[in-house]
Amino acid sequence: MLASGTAGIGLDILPFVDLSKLGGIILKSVTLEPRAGNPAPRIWEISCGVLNAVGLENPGVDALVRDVIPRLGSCGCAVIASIAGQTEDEYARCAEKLTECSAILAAIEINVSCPNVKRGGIEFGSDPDAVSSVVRKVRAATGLPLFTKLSAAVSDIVSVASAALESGSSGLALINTLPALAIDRVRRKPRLGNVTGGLSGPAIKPVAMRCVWECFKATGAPIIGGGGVMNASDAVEFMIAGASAVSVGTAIMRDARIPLRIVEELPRMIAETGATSVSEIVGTLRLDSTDS
Amino acid sequence: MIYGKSAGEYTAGVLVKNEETGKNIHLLAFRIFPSSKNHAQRRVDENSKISNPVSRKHAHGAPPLRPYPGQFYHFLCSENDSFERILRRPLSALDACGWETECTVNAENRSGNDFLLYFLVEIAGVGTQWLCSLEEGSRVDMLGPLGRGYPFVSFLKQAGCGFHTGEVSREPFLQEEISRNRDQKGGCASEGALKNVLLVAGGMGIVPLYFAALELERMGRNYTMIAGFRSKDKLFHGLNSLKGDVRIYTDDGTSGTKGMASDGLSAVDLSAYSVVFTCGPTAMMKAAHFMADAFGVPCYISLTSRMGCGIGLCGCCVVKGAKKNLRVCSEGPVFIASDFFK
Ligand SMILES: Cc1cc2nc3c(=O)[nH]c(=O)nc-3n(C[C@H](O)[C@H](O)[C@H](O)COP(=O)(O)OP(=O)(O)OC[C@H]3O[C@@H](n4cnc5c(N)ncnc54)[C@H](O)[C@@H]3O)c2cc1C
Ligand SMILES: Cc1cc2nc3c(=O)[nH]c(=O)nc-3n(C[C@H](O)[C@H](O)[C@H](O)COP(=O)(O)O)c2cc1C
Ligand code: FES
Repeated sequence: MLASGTAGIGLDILPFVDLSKLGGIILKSVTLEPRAGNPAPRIWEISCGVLNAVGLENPGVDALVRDVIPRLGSCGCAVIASIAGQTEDEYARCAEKLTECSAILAAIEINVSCPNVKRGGIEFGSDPDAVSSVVRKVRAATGLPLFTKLSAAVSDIVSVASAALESGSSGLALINTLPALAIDRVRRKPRLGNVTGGLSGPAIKPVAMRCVWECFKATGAPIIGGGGVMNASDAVEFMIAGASAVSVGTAIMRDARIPLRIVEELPRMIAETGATSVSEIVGTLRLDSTDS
Repeated sequence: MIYGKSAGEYTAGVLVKNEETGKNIHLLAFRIFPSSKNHAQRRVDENSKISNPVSRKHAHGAPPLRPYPGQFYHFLCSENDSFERILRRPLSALDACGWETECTVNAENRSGNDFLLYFLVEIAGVGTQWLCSLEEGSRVDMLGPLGRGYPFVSFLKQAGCGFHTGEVSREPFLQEEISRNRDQKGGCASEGALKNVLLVAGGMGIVPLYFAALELERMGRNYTMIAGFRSKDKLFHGLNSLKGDVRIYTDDGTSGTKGMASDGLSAVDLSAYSVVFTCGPTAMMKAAHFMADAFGVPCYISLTSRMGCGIGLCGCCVVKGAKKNLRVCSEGPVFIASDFFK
């Protein structure tokens, strides 16, 4: 699947990626009202990763429902919309509006983990009670399957995950970017216009992997796993940790052909584990002491 | 809105020339090959409303997309499977040959039906350092041409640009040209609105404007180029072979007139020009905009910003414009100056 935020919010991706060969596309998070996002610069590269602070710039849910989703009806993969907000009501109203597109949408992802906005986002995501009430409101507003996207920057991700699932989330999306800071030593200034940003890419893969594994172990819920997936081996590792689908974000910025390459190489990577299908390897991390 | 934008393609370029032309500045030439468009692109070209007429024509093993002045390529600056330097680096095209155009930078590398792309790269960090230290024969992964270039009708046409829907109205001063061009069905009409163009370049801003100058020469148009550099060792020697009116300024007076491009700007009579193209430091572009505006002459600027995807997906390159956010990679890098300056 193409992760939220790097696959665009419109049709710009179509010339570059044959969506019909992929599992799904998760659209950029939308909010009730359009948002202008954060000041430039919005991106900074580090070793093995990237910091971004786009700040949920988006044209608003109405524009998505009116102009974008209807045109993705024939794209040939699952289309998932992502929602964010500053209040529970905003989340719920977004979900309600998106329900108009239930014929096309496969699910809604609830982003309670964006590190780049002042209110909402990660603020909700770190408190199990807040997550629970957001999810409950959204659940009441729509019949679409819900995936709650969590941050790893919480003390106990399992309790947040459980809260989401108990409140009606059908599954989990793990993980969002990690709050981070990069500094220009000479100028003694932050590298990003928003001061802090969210870290993504291979640098966060081990953290993401741990989150997927812990949440899978504790809940057994369907998980869209991701964070630093660059190739098919990474994807299979996430599956072994417990992800039944894998998302690719930062890698698309490097090369939009990577998701398709992963899909093509997946059978071989799975075969090397001795399994024959995705369902045979999901959550099969072996903790026994035998070597083979 | 798909305006003024050609969806670029992934290409493997073979480095055929790497010459240090100035202090930490390299001229790179890449041979690229007839289009091996990825499947998705071909599909879109063939059967969708989103496609544009030109790319459909080129769908099967046809020439690679031709870059126009102001467009850029997004370069991978590490090995394909590396996790270092994850992001690509944007570099403007300096010249292109092998399409309907002859090589002007240096024809000697060219054989048969090659397509060559030229870039001028200043080493500014680890990525450009990697690129500029490559040996001839290396293969480099590049994505392009990307973005919206300066308003050459032939570019607007390749990019689709609402040629058939009237969206080109954003280019009011080109209206007459455009309608003539549209009528001619495929023939490359003359671009009379570009009858006398003022090009104002500062530093590496020379890259797209050198390309623009070549393009204007090919079209037989007049132009004046004002080019400012820090000093002689940053100068691009290609300027010597331009046929137009080229005025060089250096901060330290080691070449041309001592001073900055903006000094050159105050020395010209703007009313003599039909349009201004500028690229360089913001202050210089701003000066050009306000002077041009005073004479009612349209002015185009080229912005830079830190990019992620380069193809309009991630929102990382967005800068604040006069009225709304501007997505530099796909709505730009070339903008009408008043979209940016208040
Ligand atoms: C549209 C456009 C066209 C350009 N054309 C040219 C050209 O023709 N010739 C040329 O020499 N340079 C050009 N530049 C600037 C060039 O992209 C940067 O110098 C280059 O990205 C620096 O990369 P680095 O790895 O060497 O530096 P680093 O500082 O190591 O790069 C780190 C990150 O910051 C980004 N970055 C750093 N400096 C810049 C910058 N000035 N602009 C945008 N991103 C930056 C890099 O892309 C990379 O993602 C252009 C920039 C843009 C936006
Ligand atoms: C530029 C950028 C923008 C993003 N925007 C969003 C967003 O709007 N909503 C969201 O839920 N996640 C967003 N993310 C997070 C990604 O979806 C993903 O969870 C994260 O980057 C980790 O995966 P990766 O390492 O594969 O990128 C964004 C990431 C990046 C790099
Ligand atoms: S760099 Fe991604 S939208 Fe411009």
